[in-house]
Amino acid sequence: MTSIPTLCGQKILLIEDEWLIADFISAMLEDMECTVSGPVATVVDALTAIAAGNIDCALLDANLNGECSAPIADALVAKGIPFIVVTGYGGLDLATETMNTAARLGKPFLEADLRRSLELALNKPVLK
Amino acid sequence: MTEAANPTLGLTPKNDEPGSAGPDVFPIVGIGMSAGGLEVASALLRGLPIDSGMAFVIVQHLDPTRESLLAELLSRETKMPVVQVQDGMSVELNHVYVIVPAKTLLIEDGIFRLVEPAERRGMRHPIDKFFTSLASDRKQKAIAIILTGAGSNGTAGLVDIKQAGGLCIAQDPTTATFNSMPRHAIDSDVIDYVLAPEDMPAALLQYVQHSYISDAKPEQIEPALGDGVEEIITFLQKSGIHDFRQYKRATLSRRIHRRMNLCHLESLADYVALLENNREELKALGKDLMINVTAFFRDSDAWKALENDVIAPMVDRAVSGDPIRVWVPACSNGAEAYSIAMLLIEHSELLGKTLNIKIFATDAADNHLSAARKAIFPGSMVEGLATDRLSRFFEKIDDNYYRVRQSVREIVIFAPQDLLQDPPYSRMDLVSCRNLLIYLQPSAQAKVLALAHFALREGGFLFLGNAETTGSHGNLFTEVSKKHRIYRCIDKARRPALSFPDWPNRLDDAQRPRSTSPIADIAVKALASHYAPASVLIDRNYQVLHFHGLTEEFLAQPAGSPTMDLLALARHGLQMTIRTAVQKATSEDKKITVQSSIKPVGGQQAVFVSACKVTGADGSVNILVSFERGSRTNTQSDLTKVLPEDVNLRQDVEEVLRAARAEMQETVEQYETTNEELTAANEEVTSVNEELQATNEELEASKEELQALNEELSTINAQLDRKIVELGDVHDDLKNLLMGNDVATIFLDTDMHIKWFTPAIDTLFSLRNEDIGRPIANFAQMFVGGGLLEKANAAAVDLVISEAEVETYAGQHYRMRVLPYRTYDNKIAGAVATFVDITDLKRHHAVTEAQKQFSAAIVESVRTPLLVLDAKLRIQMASAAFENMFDIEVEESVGEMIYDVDAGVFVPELRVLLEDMLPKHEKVDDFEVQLTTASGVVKDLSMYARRIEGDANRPAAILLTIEDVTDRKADIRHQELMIGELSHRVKNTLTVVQSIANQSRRGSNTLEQFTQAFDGRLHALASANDLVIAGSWKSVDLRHLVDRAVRPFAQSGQFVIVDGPPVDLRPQASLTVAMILHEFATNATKYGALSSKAGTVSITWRIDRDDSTPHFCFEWTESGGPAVTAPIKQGQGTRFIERSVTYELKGTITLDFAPGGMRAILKFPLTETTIQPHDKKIEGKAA
Repeated sequence: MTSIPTLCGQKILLIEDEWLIADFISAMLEDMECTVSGPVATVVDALTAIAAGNIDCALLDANLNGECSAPIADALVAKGIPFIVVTGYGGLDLATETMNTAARLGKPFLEADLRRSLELALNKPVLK
Repeated sequence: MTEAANPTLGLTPKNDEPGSAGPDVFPIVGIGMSAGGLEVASALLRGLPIDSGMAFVIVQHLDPTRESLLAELLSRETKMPVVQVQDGMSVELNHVYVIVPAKTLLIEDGIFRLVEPAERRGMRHPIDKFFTSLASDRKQKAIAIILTGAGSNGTAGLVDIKQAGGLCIAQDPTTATFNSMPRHAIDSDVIDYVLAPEDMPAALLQYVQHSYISDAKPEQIEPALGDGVEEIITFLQKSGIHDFRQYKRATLSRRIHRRMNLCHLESLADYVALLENNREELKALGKDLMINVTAFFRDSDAWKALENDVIAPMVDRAVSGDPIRVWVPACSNGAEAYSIAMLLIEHSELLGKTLNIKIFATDAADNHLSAARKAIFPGSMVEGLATDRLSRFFEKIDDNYYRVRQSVREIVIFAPQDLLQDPPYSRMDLVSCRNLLIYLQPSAQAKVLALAHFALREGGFLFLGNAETTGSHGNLFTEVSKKHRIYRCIDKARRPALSFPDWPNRLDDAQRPRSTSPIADIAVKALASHYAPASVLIDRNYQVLHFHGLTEEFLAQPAGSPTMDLLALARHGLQMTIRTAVQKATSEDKKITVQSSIKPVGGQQAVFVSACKVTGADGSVNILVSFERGSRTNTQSDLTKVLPEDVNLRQDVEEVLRAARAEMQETVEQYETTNEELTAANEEVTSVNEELQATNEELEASKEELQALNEELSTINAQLDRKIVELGDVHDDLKNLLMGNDVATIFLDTDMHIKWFTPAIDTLFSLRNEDIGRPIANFAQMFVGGGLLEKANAAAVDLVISEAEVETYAGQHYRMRVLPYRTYDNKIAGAVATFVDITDLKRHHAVTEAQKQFSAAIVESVRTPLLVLDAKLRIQMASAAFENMFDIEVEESVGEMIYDVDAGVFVPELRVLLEDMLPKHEKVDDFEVQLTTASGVVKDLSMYARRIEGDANRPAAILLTIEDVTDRKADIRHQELMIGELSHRVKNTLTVVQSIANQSRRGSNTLEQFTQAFDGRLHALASANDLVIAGSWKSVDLRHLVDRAVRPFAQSGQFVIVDGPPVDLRPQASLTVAMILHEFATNATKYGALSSKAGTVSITWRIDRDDSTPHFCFEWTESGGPAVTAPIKQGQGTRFIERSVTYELKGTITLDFAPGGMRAILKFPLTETTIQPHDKKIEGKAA
């Protein structure tokens, strides 16, 4: 699969509590020539990273080791940063409306899924 | 028939004339009664033997619309057969007969007749009617008894009984419940005995055993009595009772015989002795002997004839102001006199004439007169009259009596007069003397007829009873109606010899011609006295009818009894002259004058006697004889000379004259004395008159008071009448009520005898109508227990009201209620027991009770709180579960508003449910409410409500169940959470597997290598997951984790696990730790201590609390393996370990590749990765 120029150099913040998964997704993003920011495993770290800026898009795990990631989603929306909720909850309701209406990528996923989600998120910024 | 025997008078005995019943006829007792009669009649019948020798007929006022039970009731009282009368039934001896309702009972020749009453209801007099027919059927064997009752029925009939010679008995009013009937009878003066009912049987038996009744032929008594009767008549006359000498002996004998019976005497001598000693009996006898019957318009045909032939022409002829004079001798109660008065009034009014009507009604008996003056008659006497006559001439003074109106009374003048002794009246237009002659001896009859003739003016009428005629005096009267005994007086000039000791001379009066005008009269009189000669008017028989002028010169009364014969009166010498003149005048029909002479004191004197015929207005022919002294010389050819009588007679005449003068002188003196006496008497009379007038005024005042009182009494009576009607209605209502319902009722008297019962009683007692009056104790009750008799006694004696439930043998249940029987005046007259059938009620009650228990059980067994509210949302019932849920006492909350429960936690939601939703829907299901109770607990409740419409028996209600769904809701939320969590973990795990596969692929050069690495890691992950699941995704014991992680590599003794403190890892951390251990073990197997059999691995851990945050410190120490060198290039596994520890555990790992064996130290903070012992509780709850 050839990389798509649009994703090249995009700075993606990866928020994922489990190292094995974070490592795996980072590898995929790097294959897509994205620059991985993080990954971060906690809400605090995520908010710090967001505050630091320089992020094009974020991949957000809905559950960070039992902690709800809704504040992160709110911060992302506030910043106008598009994000994709990456979750094992599938189609189930999430904690907040912001999370529910955001683009969602169900675990496990293929690289193509991730790419399409990112392309959609980046071309079509989430409106607040 | 005794009286048949008067051929002279041609009498035909009828009912008016008392006869007597034959020997084979037995006495009949008529018993008249009304209110209260049953009891008295029972007492009377009880006292009579079965063979009394009489028959009894009971006549009672009965409700015409009701069947009478009288016969049935009376048959219990006597052994005599008691029969209800039927038409045509013949009377039998020793029987009791009872009238049927709504019929008039009569008896004729021993046969009962039932006829429809002619009068309207209330005007009927069944007792009177029967008594009258009984009197005519049984004569002296008729016995009438008046018992208790209201009104006056029977009184009129008693008179007929008495008249027929029968016996009249009245109940003693003091013993009668209603004493009006006996009292009226007694007042009527015809009652022979006044007795208490129990004394009547003896009196009856004694009466019928007397020879007066039992002897075969009463007429034979007369000769037997013989002189005794004369003795009694003389005695009566002397005692001043009455002179009966001229009365028929047969009638008198029979009535005396009857009185003897009443006095229980058989011997006349004894009776005479009694009379001498007993003034009362003497009076009673006198009264009985004079008994007379009259009635209004008795024999209506005769009265019709009188009206048409006498009254109508009489009134027609009269001019206004003319007198019409009528005499009714022996008037008795005055009915006849009043009848005539009515006819006269009717006719004079018809012709618009005001006539001076005077009716003289006379009688010898004072009691008759006083009764007649009162003019009060029982209804039975007058109600048969024509209605217009009744209302025109009578006023009703009470229910039973009528009084003749004032207008009639004032023209009838009552006066005492003994026809046979006292002077008669005169110048009468009509004499009505009915039914008197039949009682008199023939000589007395003749005298009465002569009197009547005297009393009547010429052409006046005589009205006799239908059994009477003018007989031998037929020449004095002409027949107007032979059939109806109406006669006209003729030949007034002929006067039969009458002798009355005290008869004043009223002849001048009687014969004074009626003057037409006073002035003409005076003129004629003057002329006549101045110019007319002394004259006399004589009839053809030379009887002087009138004297005119001074006739003493020519006429003189001879010695001896006074005479009116002119020839006897004529002075000596004139007889021949008069006879000649009269004869010639009569035969030649012209005036004849004859000369004669008399010898007065002065010498011979010539006298001219003239005679001429005079024809009266009524066609009667008389002769006028005039005398003139002979001063003139008569040359008329028709003058007849009569030779003078012997002159020698003069001497005698002068002597006679002297004697006469002396006598006259004496008479004048006597007259003057008498005159003085009369003047004194007159003064006395005047003063007496004044007194009488005063008395009269007082009487008038009293009368007015009495009338006012009477008015009041009438009013009260009318009210009582209405009350009776109302009572009748109420009685009917009550009867229908009691008969119509199913409540068995029995009335007992104070002796616990049955008084009455309703038909419904038949399930409790076997009673029939005949059982009324029998003791209730004699009847077997058809139910168990109840104690009716004791309760009834208690009710009647102590006024106790009691109730009990009884069960019949048939299994029906009754509520028995016993209470005192109160009369209208609040006396206790026994007890009333009612039995209400409650069988159904009890069955329904049992069913209801069972259903109630059933529903209560349901309510109790339901774990959901259940409330019953009424329409106003107040709690009616609450289940125990409700009590538990809200921690309140059910009993306290009953009646409370639902909104008030638990300080009003329900209010807003309940209002929505109960006030908005429920009125629109019959039911509301699963209405969810979340509330915080007063104690602060949040509860999820689900409510179910049902509206139950009320009806007549049950008010509307609301059923409300409240289900606590707090736990269920939490479970659902947890479940949803779990599903999410499961999905999350599964997907995460799969992603981890994906990552592991990716990692393994990168670190492998061959597929074999990949497979081995991937399998090992996947296995480690699975093992760790097993433990996570075993720990319910909550915690994993480190010891187990280590065991499971190293087990695939284990060979005995190679692992030395030194126990550290127990540590519970969080699931995420446990997975990381397990994967790290797997990498350690894999490396040890590939390169480290486990690659040789002698190598061992020691594992130990501790909690290091030296730092600010407590750390978990885990050591992996290898030994005994091949010599160790630090790897040049960091391997895939090592990189994973390092990154995992820092990223996920926030810890550090130190790898020491010592030559004796690798040693790894893993440190990470406790707080985020492990479960602290104090956390466990919270964790367990929050999960």
